[in-house]
Amino acid sequence: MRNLWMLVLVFSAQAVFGQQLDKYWVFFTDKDGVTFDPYSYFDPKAIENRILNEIPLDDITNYPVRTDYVAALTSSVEEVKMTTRWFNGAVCMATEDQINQVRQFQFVKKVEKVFTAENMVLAEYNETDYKVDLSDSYKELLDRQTDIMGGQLMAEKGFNGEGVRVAIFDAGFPTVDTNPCFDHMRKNGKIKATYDFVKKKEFVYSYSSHGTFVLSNVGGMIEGRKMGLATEAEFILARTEMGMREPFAEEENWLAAAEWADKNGATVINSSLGYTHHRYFYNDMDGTSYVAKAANMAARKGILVVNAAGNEGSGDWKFIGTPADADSVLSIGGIDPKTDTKVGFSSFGPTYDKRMKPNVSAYGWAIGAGEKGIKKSAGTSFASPLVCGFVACARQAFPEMKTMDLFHKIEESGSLYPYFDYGHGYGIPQAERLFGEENAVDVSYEIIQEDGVYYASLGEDYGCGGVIYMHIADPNNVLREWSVKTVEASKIKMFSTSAAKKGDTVRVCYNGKIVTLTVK
Amino acid sequence: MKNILVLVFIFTLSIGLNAQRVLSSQNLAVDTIPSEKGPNKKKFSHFYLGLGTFIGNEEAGVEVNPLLSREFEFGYRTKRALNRHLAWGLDFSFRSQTFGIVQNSSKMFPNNIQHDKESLILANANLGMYTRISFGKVGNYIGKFMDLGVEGIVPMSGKLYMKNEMPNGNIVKTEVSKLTYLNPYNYGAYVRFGFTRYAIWGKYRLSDMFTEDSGYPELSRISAGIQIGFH
Repeated sequence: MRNLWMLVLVFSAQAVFGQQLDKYWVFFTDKDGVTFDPYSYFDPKAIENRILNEIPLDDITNYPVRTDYVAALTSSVEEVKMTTRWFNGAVCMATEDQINQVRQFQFVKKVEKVFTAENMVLAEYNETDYKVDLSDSYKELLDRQTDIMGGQLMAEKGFNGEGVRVAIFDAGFPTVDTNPCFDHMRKNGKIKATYDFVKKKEFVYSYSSHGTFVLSNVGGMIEGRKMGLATEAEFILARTEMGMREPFAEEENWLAAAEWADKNGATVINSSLGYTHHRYFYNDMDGTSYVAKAANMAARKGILVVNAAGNEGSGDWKFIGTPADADSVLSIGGIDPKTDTKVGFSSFGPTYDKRMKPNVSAYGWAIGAGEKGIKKSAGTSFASPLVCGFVACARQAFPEMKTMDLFHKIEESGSLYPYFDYGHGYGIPQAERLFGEENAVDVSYEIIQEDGVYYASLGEDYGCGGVIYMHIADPNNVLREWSVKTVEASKIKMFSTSAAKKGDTVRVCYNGKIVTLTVK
Repeated sequence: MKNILVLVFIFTLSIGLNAQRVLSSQNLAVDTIPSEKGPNKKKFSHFYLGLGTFIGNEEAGVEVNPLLSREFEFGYRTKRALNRHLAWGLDFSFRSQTFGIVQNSSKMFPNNIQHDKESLILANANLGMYTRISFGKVGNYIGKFMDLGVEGIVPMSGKLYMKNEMPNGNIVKTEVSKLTYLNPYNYGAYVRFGFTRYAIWGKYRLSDMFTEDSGYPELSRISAGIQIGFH
């Protein structure tokens, strides 16, 4: 009996630590001898996008990996999970002995272990209610979630995402094939392709309804009301995540989906996901994770990647996750519809290397399509597709603009631009600003210094109410401190003068006007 | 009264001039300092619950039935990380141990009388010190680990429990306490293999349970079981 128990203990330890299968990235040395015909590989839209962005069609990163390398790898490991053209490699399952053998191959440039995480954070999905009919409060929020970005002007100008192909990466899209919120998409054949990268099949209309909600916030419609701005965009739907609570969601699905989206002509990607504390520490949030590199590579291919900042603002983590930390990703913060300022759960920037994130923001509470009815949900997961709809319309409005120029134009359309902070980015994108039609600002105020404190002295304009944004930026324009306050008086206390150093800039943004003070 | 009203007016006016509510703010010098506390950070502590049984027999004369034996433990664990893969920590716990003694002809503890059921029940306070080796890259998350530790065990109470059914059908339960043959302290070594909040453990008692004078054969030294951490 004693021996039996000892065996159980030993086998249990073996199960945890023994010669087990692990996942590895295997990068190859070259693509010598590989041929590639971009016109047969890419969707015509992808070709157009490359021409627009002056990206060579025969870029070596588009070439397939060498089949002989993959064959050799396949015969040496348990399973090859995927190959990547962009990074010239493969992901495989192998034992330690097998991977040591793979390391010896001359065509193997580098091997790195893929560490798995318990959770892929798709941001919160709080279903606070279950309703099919739209109550007045639902109607109000539904209208505001697009109006706040200038949805009416966008519609008046006829921009609705038509001709723009948007890829949605999420955890599942149940009922998108039957839901009335997507009738217009199905009727007009707007869903161009689907693929489940978890199950390796085309059917995606099952699993988590998170993706259904997200898609509706890009371009869904209910009772003639827009749930997102890009109601006439084309969509390709990729299931990259196993679900909200499933273990071992993988970054390589994201990469595979991005390559697939590129092949299928997507020019915008919405990805409402992010890795945080299960795999990383804050000092890893510098755009160097694999998923961040994949997102940056997608941007290099001319795709504008829109990603949720995350919902860790009131948690221990606090900061954005990855790939929202990637420099070429448009990271989206969440706004509280009650105050039109940062909602508590929305993750803070900056990146660890002090780059501004999020880039812009949208409502973090939204009305969207659930699996069985219209719901109200919270999360930057839904702020991201709201901005994604705006981006698709902007892409339609400026078809000749290069992708990264469009990225900056979206930032410049932010309600606070050029003011920014690490909760709102440049604020909520505004169609009026996008088209240069914003009204002139008519407020006057100044920053004054009294008794060791900086004040914003609003004078008579304090009657405007609302909120006031303020920050101290160092000479490199990295913020030391920022704050948003309600305006309930003519003189608003800002910061202690000791908080700012010589050469710093104190900025205030109130009702669209920015006042600056340089500290001497 | 007039003066008070003037003061109230001035106070209200001064509040009105500066009234404001902070909706959101961030001080980078303070807010970006990483916390030292967390499952895979410098400091971490949590409660845990363990369940196990005793395995095998050490000497002839006392045989322990693992199915009638058990060990229940409630404790508090601290961890101090030395680097991403190495940490050390302390386990403070209270442990209830029941040794189900097999009733057979070779039984010598505490005597050769056979009962329908006989158990030695101990309650201990324990202090363990362990070294943890973590495997793989994880964020602020415990992941896979192996702990190797030593512990001191102080028996707080001990009793011998016997149960017999009389010929007339009555059940007689007997408890003997103040067991003078128990050593006043014990010590042992342990190993844990874990993944996140779950662990399997094995312990080996290095010291003798009974005093040398008692002459009793040694009880099983090995126990094993599972633990769940609350974090």
